[in-house]
Amino acid sequence: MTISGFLRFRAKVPKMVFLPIGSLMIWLLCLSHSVQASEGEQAYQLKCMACHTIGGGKLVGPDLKGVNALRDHDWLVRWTVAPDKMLAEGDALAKQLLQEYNNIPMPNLGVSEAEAKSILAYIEAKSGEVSEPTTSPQPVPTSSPESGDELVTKPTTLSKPASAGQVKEAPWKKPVLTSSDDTPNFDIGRALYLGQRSFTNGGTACITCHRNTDIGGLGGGTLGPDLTKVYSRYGGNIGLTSVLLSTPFPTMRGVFVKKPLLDSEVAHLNAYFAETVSLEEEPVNVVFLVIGIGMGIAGFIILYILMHLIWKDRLTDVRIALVGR
Amino acid sequence: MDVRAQVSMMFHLDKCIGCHTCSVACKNIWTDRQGTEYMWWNNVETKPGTGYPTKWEDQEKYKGGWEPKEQTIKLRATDKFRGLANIFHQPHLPTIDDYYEPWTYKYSDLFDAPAGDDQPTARPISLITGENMDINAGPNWDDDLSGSTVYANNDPNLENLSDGEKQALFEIERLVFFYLPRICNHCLNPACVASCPSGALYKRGEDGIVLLDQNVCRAWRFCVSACPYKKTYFNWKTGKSEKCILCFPRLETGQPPACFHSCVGRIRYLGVVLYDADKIEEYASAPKEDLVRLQREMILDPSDPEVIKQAEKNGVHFSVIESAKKSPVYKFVKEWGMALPLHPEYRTLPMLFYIPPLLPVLGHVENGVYNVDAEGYFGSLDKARVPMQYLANLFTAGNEEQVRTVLEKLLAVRMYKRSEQVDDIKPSLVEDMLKKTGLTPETCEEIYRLTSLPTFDERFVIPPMHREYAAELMAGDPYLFKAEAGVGGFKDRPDRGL
Repeated sequence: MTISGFLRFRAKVPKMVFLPIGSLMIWLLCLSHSVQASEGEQAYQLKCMACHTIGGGKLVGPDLKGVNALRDHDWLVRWTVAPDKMLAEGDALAKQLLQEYNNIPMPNLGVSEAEAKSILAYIEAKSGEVSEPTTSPQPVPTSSPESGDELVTKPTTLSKPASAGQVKEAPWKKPVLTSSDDTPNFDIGRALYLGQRSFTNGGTACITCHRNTDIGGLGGGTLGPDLTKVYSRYGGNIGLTSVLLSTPFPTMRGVFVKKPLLDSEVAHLNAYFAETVSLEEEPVNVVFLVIGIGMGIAGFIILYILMHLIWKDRLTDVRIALVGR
Repeated sequence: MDVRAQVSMMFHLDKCIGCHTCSVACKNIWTDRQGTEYMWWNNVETKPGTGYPTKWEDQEKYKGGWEPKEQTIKLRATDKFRGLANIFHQPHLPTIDDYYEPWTYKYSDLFDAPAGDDQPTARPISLITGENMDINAGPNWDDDLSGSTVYANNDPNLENLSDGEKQALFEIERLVFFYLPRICNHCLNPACVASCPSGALYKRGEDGIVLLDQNVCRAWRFCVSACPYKKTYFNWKTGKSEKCILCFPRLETGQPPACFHSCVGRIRYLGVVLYDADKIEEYASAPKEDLVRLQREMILDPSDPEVIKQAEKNGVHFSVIESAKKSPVYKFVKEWGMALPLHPEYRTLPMLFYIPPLLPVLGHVENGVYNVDAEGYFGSLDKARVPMQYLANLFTAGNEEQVRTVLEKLLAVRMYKRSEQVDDIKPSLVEDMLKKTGLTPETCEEIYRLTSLPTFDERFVIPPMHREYAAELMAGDPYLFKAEAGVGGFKDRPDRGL
């Protein structure tokens, strides 16, 4: 039966209606689920969790447990909204923190004032609770040569929780190091990014969700942020390493929690991202996208017509054509 | 001369009452399994009508059978190149909708329904999907629907009929129909065998029954397309094609096939004929109008000493030759020239023959009384309700003269018997008729007896099948297989399938 014949005679109204309604309902269900999480928690998970914990010890940035009591509220809001500006203005506390944390500046994450307040409210609420261990594995400092002096002299000992009595040590499985390819390598990093080389634990290649100007063309998925300048955004090697090992973002966590990256793989990726920093971030090339999709549709139509031409004398519906139903 | 034996069949359409007992007998024995529900190895159609599968005779669509090409013939559906190019997506397959979607009813609802104000009903359920369905078609959907603007009007055999003739067929006073029971024709030049890329189909040497080896079949389904009679079917459960096997297990034990045995009207005859296999290609490639005559020529006289000598040289057992001498099919087809093949223009040389129906003449209303012409009760054939051209399209590839000859013979026998028993027909008229048709009173009597009063053994002259020789030929000493399962057949179920 041909497609047209199917549409004409076989497709029943309930089936045709069910499909869009069903998908709409599923979409609404997803929506309502995400609304349940409080605004502050969501923003925290999205923007802070990569570098901070609440009672989970230091990561790239400090442990935020009880930070509301420690610092002035207004200062915290300002700092969360525009840390770069405060550093530039030469805020004393900011400078002190920068020094304390290996000169990795806190990036401006585009947090609005309202958002900042809700985040702080969330942190306050969370600090009050008995701390839960962080679910993400805690990164250990890599011993790769590129990490440089910083690491050797000032190792970021992250495993020590701020209040050891309350917090259980997070279950941390030391990743198995591959013997070969230990030297961080731009090409290997690129291959890992593209998925030409797969991650040992079976994690998804970066390009699936992220763009990078280095790749060109459509450049990769748009689910996650552009990674061209990710190296500088997370303050170089240490920051990025911690993010890649812990993958604290909700979307990434779901993908990588059971398939963590290896130290060596992270090092390769670091080497790659360190190079792409020099490139400019480019938005998705809409023209290219439209042409690509357009060519796909045009190809489909051409093949469909071709199919009908080649098999034009094939046997089509006899009975239906006869009785009209 | 390459003399071979063929178990051949003859259906006398004047005797068919369209009761479908044959179809049900066949279904109960062979096609009541899952995957075969839609198959009717034997089916009965109303003519004029579109039949099963719908419009199967329209080879412009279905591409069945052979077509002439230069000096020889080629398959319409496929050849070596097209077969290979389309092997994974065969373009000429009928869909299940063109057969019909088989169904049953949810009878349990009749018993399990809770008490209520309404009668419970048993809803129809598809035998393929198991879901509720609306019934839009069936294997005999156009049964008795003569004059229907959908079914009768679309009969491919109405081709070449004048507009007047066509219109007449749909006038209420002139409506006419007859039944056409169909099984596999076990052709001498089978298109299904020729089309199979796997070589799964074969024509059994000793009796000419066309069979499909379930172990070799690879579901390419070219046989389904190539058979112009649409008598091979694809079993979607086992993933193999299947077809009528002429109940060979019954034949081998001396019984007629189930559809023959159960026939209420006793319209079916079966017997062996000898034919000359050397002539197959030449005769199948002949011009359309010669096909019926040549096919009749190809059937050999089993009493001819030369034929007997050649047959025995070919390994045809003398008991089979003896059986051929008594074959009712030989008499009807060759001796009396009364039986015709169905659609000889498909050039498969079908070995199932039909005696066309002698349908009633047109009546007319006179003084408010409905009359048929008194003087010619069997009347002039030109006044028959069904146009001669229609029968010719069915049985003689459009050659009206050959159909007329057969109908005249039928008429002559009737007139002879009526003059003998009722004595209301002028003897001179009977004599004229006998002279014209070349029949003698003796043959008339013989035709009458074999048509109206045949015994079981006269209708079915089953040759001894001599499986012991066939087994020896194929597998050597049959005692080697003693106590094993079967002789040379397959011992396991076919591998492939769901």
